[in-house]
Amino acid sequence: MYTPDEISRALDRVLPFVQKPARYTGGEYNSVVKPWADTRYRLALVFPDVYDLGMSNLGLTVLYDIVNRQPDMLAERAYTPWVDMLAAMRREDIPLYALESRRPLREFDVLGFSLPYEQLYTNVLTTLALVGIPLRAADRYEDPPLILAGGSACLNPEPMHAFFDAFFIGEGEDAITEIVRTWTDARRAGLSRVDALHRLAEINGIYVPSFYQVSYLEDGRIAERVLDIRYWTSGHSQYPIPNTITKRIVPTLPPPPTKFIVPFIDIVHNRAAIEIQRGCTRGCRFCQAGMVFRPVRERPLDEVLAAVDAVVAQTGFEEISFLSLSSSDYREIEALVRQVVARHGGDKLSVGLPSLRIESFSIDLMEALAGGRRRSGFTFAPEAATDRLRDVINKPIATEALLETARQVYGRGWPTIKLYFMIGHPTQTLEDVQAIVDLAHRVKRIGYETLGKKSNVRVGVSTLVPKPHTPFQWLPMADEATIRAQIGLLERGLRGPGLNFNWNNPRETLLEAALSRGDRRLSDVIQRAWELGAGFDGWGDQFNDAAWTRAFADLNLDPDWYARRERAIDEVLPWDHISVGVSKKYLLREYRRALAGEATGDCREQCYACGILTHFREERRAVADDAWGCPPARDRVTTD
Amino acid sequence: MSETYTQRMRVTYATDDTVKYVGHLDMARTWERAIRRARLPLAYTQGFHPQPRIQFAAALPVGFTGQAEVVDVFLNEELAPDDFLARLTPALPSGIRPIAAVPAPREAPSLQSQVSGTRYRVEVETPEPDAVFRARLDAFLARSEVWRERRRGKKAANRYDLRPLVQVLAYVGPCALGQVFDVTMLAEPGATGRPDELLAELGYEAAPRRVVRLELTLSVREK
Repeated sequence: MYTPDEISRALDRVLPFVQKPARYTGGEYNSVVKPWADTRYRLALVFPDVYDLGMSNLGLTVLYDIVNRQPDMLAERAYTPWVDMLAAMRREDIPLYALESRRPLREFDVLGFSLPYEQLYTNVLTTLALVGIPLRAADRYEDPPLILAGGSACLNPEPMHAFFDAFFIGEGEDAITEIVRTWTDARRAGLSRVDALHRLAEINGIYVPSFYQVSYLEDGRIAERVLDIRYWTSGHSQYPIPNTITKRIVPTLPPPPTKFIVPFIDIVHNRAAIEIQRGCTRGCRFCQAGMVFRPVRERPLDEVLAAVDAVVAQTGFEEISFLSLSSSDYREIEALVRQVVARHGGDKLSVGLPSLRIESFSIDLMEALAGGRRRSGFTFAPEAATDRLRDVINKPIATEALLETARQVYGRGWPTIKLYFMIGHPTQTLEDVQAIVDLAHRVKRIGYETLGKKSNVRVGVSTLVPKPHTPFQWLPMADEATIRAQIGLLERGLRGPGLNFNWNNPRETLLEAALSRGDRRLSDVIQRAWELGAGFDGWGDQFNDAAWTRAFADLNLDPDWYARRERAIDEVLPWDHISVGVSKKYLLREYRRALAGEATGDCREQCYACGILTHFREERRAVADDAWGCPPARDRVTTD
Repeated sequence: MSETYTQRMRVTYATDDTVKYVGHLDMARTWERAIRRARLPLAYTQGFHPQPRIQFAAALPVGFTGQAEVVDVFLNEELAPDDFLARLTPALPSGIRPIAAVPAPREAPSLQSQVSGTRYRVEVETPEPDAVFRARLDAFLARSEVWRERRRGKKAANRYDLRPLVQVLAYVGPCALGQVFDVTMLAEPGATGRPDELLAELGYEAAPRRVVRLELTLSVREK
């Protein structure tokens, strides 16, 4: 076993020869180093990608803050080393260590992985191998720490089921300390791993995949999912295991973290982020975040303003970003912008406000934040280019309103407008794709008339991945030939001065779709692809298409079958046992309305009975009437 | 230039192992953020992109620690040095420890241009006995010229004589890692010696080492 000193000495041999060595040394301002021997509960928070990305993950920042506030607990950090450092650590036999104590991760009680998206799956295996513990949960016996995952990708945990001892589904603010204490106490009391997992399974939001069995039909679809009989008979019967795991939520958002770790190196988002609102009432049908982060909860204005003051004093960051799925819907957005500018306008503090609606009010907000300075770009995401198709996806904005907003953006001196679209929406025709070209040209013409040659339009196009827990979850993803033809059309149409076009690699999109819609059999595919050299799948230049293609073939599985097969309404979906509180009945209703081209309104205006109030009745009662975007609990809403 | 700041505070500080892999530009941003956290009245340059007025004497190579690094911090208000240090110290990462602050004369040339020499303590991993190692140092000192090539980025290699850049080379003794020596190197524009070049010339191109910059010599001495 390596001591922190031995690890430090070993690092001195390798760090002079790797890129950005300060990724691997810790010591940043606001990082928390607690006395190891005197702290009872030890959690390592792991982001399975490089430091530069992982440090920008707000979820881990929140958990780090909460756990380190507990006198008897510590939380440290670890990231997947970049390929040069990975090779060096393997060569020198250096195990993955936590940045704060430089202790090997193996010595922690719990390794909590953040799993926000599917492109990190192979990096989980890279990381586990570097920690030096068996890749598969079934091969872990007595010693290794609990291998836990949380984050959005866990909403379909099945493709990664073989590698994690447990998944946490939902919002972890209340649960994280409970999980670490329960597991650690159980193990120290002498319970076996299986018995300790039973204790853990009692915690709301915990899913222990090994307690369930899945059987398949001959054509590959799921026959049924049942509790594994070995785990609920005899000695274990006192702990009931749920058939369905419902996500956990916090009824009220706790105050946001403000003591952000200040990195030495430049990272992806080198700034503090304050979540002003969780959830979204718009109900865009393609949007997984909009479905799974319900209900809407706002942070009070005073709390946000106090957090900004604290962040400035405690971090020295030059930039703060206010996060939400739809900033324009934050009720006090105008007051927030005005007061932040009044308090910190002189501090050389720049403020980011993403996810603004396509309306002139958004320009007012951005202008107020920019002060006298001009920013270069203004970003809008209409997602589809015709009024009809925007009704299908339930993001209704009139084309005329978009053009009018563009006129004002350029008119007030912003030279760049970025427009994000998706192709492959249900009912989409080639005319809808051509409309992206036409719309971009109309915006460009407005820019030229208003601002002249320095105006420009940047168009980003991605392919719809029909995601679990959305009304589109039954849909097939468009086939590759169609996608390539449509990208070709866009590429030919979006040339010329002042126009810029970006799109996603269809092969990477296929992998994302197959992994996000996959079942338990994909664990073997993921491991095989990893053995064949896949890793850092989200980094275009590292994406190893050949490894993935061969891995699927080796296991006799077809990524298209997962990604491009329409699912019957009565099919057992791999993620059916995970509930985000939104009922299947609601998703189906929205799916049918989409196909009929009918938009559904904002649910702050009227409740559409998505199921949240049924699933979280107690949580709703616990908070004030205006604390949620949903109606108060006394208005009995009947859903399924 | 004189009207854009009130006080030029010269800070001497030490850095430890936790920050030795932080590059020079990142170190500059780290100081700027620390000064913002400390709410010290940092002066900025004029112009469209105001830059913080922080001047380092000499970039510390990545992997080295420093015992007496020097930086000038330009302020918009006059502060007592003790007050300045009391506010700055807790705002810096624990690996950067200020030792002293002294107001510097406004008219003095830039700190970087005052550096004339640097002294390092070098520990290098080697199984060689004391006498053999010593002989290597002596052999280097006995040479009248030591031509080497230095390559910077994509530019053509630059030939230079390392020997006159090494002013003092003194054997210290054995250590846990191997052997220790002190070296004082010339540091003038276009003629700056680096300990890793000396190590390479001594035959330890890739050997693990620990290097501490003990001291920077400033050619314009302050009172």
